[in-house]
Amino acid sequence: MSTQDDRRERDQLLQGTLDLLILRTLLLGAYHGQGIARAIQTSSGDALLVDHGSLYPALQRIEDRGWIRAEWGVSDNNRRARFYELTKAGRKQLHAEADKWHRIVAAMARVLGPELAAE
Amino acid sequence: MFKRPRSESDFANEIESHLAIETDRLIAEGMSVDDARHAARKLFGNVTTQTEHFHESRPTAFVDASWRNVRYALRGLVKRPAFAITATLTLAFGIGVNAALFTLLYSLLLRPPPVGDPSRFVNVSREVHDDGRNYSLYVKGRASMVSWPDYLRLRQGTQNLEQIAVYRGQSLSLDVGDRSVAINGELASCNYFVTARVPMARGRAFLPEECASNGAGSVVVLSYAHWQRRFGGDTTIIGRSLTINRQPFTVIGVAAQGFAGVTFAPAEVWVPVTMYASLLPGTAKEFDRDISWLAAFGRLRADANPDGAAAELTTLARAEDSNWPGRVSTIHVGTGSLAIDPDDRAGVVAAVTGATVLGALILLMCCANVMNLLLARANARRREIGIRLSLGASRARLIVQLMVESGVLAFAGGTLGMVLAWWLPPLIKASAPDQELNLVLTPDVWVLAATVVVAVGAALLFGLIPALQSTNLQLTAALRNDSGAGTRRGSASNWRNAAVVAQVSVSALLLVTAAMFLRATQRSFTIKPGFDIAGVSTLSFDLEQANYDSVRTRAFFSAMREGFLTTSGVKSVAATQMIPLRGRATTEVNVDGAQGKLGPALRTMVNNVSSDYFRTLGIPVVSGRVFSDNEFGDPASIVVSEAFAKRAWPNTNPIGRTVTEDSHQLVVVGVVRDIQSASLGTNDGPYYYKLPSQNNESVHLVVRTELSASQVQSLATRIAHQFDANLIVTVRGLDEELQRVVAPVQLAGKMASALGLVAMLLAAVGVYGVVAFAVSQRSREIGIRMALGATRRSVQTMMFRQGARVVGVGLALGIALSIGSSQAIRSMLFGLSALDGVAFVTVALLLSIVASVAVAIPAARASRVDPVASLRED
Repeated sequence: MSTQDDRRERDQLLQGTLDLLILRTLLLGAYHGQGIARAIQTSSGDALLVDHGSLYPALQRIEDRGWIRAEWGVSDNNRRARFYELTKAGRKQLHAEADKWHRIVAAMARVLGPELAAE
Repeated sequence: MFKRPRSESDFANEIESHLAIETDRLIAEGMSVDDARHAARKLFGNVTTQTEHFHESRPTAFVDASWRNVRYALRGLVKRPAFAITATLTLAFGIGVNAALFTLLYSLLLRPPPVGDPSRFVNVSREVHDDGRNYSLYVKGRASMVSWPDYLRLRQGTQNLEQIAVYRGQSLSLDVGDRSVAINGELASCNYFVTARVPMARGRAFLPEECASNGAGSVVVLSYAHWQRRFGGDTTIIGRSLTINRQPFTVIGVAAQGFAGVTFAPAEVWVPVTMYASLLPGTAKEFDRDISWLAAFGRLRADANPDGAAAELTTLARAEDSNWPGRVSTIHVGTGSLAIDPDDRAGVVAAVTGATVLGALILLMCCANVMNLLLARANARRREIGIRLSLGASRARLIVQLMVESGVLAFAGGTLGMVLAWWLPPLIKASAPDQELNLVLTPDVWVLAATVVVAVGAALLFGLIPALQSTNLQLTAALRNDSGAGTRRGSASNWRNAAVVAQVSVSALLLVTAAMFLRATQRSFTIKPGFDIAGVSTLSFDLEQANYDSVRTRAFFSAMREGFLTTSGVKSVAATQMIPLRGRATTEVNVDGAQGKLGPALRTMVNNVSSDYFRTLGIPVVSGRVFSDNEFGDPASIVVSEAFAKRAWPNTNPIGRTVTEDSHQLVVVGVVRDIQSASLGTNDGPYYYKLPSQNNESVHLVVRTELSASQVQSLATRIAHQFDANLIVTVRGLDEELQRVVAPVQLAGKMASALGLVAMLLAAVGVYGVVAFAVSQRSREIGIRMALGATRRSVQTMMFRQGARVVGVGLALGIALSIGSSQAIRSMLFGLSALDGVAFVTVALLLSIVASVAVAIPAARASRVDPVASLRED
């Protein structure tokens, strides 16, 4: 029976990648929550599917950290929606996280070796 | 960072808008409205989870959760009233006693005296060191009083102090009707009330002229309480004349209500310090000399501070020191509290330290008890906690919730304890022997704050270990409600048992001490001290202060004697230097050997008495005779006690033998029975009596009469005043002296009893807890035993034995400790044996009975374990 301690570990891994995805998406402009969810799905070629709802804790967290800011506005089909935008600090964080990610991926590839390279 | 947190409705709106936009998109892609809505929801995931998640991240969630914890804790406690009430009462006692002690401590040491604007009020004391030349009389090496010249110097030279005043407590004699009573007076400088900023309730305070010269101001100020008590609040009191120490004084004012001086001893009257010479003739010569006899206090200027003032005053004092080579004075300036006299302060600090230690011990005992109760209860909730842990509750969260429960208990206990803190200190103050104390005893903000700290500390102390322990479960075992396993064994049980053993032994110790004091008190009423107490009174007079010379003294005493002997109902009158049970003197004599050589030294008590002394006190003469009043021979005749004779001349007739004291020879003419005048219950040992010398010795009269105490008083006063109307006559019956000697022991007995009974109660609860816990822990084992055929009785006995073991160890330890401690109080027991069997046996019986009941109740419950149910829990 897993306790909450196991779950916390798993969440932490997920958090890092989700934050990165959100920040990257917002590089292209301001989006509302549904827009971010769709954008991630599309730009990953439908490979990354997240529950739309699970974006929101991440959004809240990033907003509290000051990497994005939010404002209510009107969407293109005339719905009221809360739009998120990258801040300068967020932009810096994005570059830092992306760097880190690339380094991890390169390291993993070296360890796994050419035999297990992606097809 | 401090922007306003998002509201929940804002978040709900965002979710709604998300779903709406997604639905629109899906419709645009060709789905039907209903399908689109459904799909959008599915894509989103669990809306409730996200909403909850958001809610948790808000700060209000914490407050909400805390309040929920409190409500849950209260519900749990209500369901178990016995546990809740026991725990609360125990904590109330522990916290309450400490709160009461804080009140006393604060009142004694920290609370400023009831003066106006206490923040600028300081006390001033002087510390003197010299190189041994001893110029004048002062207390060396300790901060203490100042002299009159000191005071004048400091007053003149200070810039830091706005004012400085002095005072001295002095017992004075006030004429009331045809009697005189002793009152607590204070000799004060004329700026006393001005410096203390105490207003007058009536009339005025002193004027500077009234202290201008000795004897200038025969005026007096009364304290409010004294004015109410003795003069019934008479509104015409101002201008009345009172006779104090045979001098007339005019009442000029009554001090504000609530003020009775700035030290512990409440003052009833204030007179100008310059009246010292008139009030106490014969001692007046000390006034102008450099003798420290006045306590000083002052008021700081607005821009001054105590350190600056101390430095300045020390410089002034050192300037005078230059006239006395080798002498170094230092002035101390301290913020005022009632412990203003440095001599008082040391005693108070010691008493308070002792009381604090006692309070801490009591609190520890109470916390130990409540901890045991909580541990037992936690064991019963194993299953509940196991379920909650396995459903995902974090351990930290459960611990927080259990601590909230402890906090609720501590809060309830603390609140109830404050009631105790209100009620207990006045009771303690009222039972302080002899003196009334000038203390303000209402609880204060600081006391409340200290109590809260204590309550929180207590909650942590007794709550943390059970909380940690009970959440540290092996889940599968706990869920199975396996009574044996599932909890970590080991040190917890041992600590619990040790705590109970300690409680039982401390109770035994306290109860034995109490029993001994009570037995001693009882004994004091039946002891035969070798002289008669009933019908005998002592008379004392202030001849020295009335400046009587030896001729007048002799005339006075013969007048008294004649006056008494001619009154019916009076059996005999005698003179004595020492009053039995009140005074004693010792000296050393040398037993004369053969041919006039000086023999061995003998330490002995001595008293100068008239010839009728033995008859008046009922001391039988064993052999020889008593000297007669005119028998001033050389060598002088003495009468010795049996112990003296036995020690000096064992096996020989002491009559006619001689001893030498200070190169005077004394011859024994008679032997009297031993008496117990120094310490009730123990014979005095060697004692010899002789006639008072020709010089003026301060003697008292003892009379044996058939009259009542008040009759003796009025008779004595009448006869004395026939000789000299200004004499002050003090009459005390020997039964009063006996009462005075017995009172402290009586009080100690009462207090030890109270403490002992409480300790016993706490120990009983502790024992109960331990056995109850053992029963719940072994319930599976009991179930098996009973299923295999054990009778209810045998199971009960098994559990009883386990409890009895712990009690037995505690009792044995306690008795052993008592045997040791009773040696320490042996001298206070009026001759009662330190191994008094009755005391020990009674206490052992009492504790055994109470402990047996405490063990039997939970042990009986062991037999109520349903074997089927407990086995099924497996």
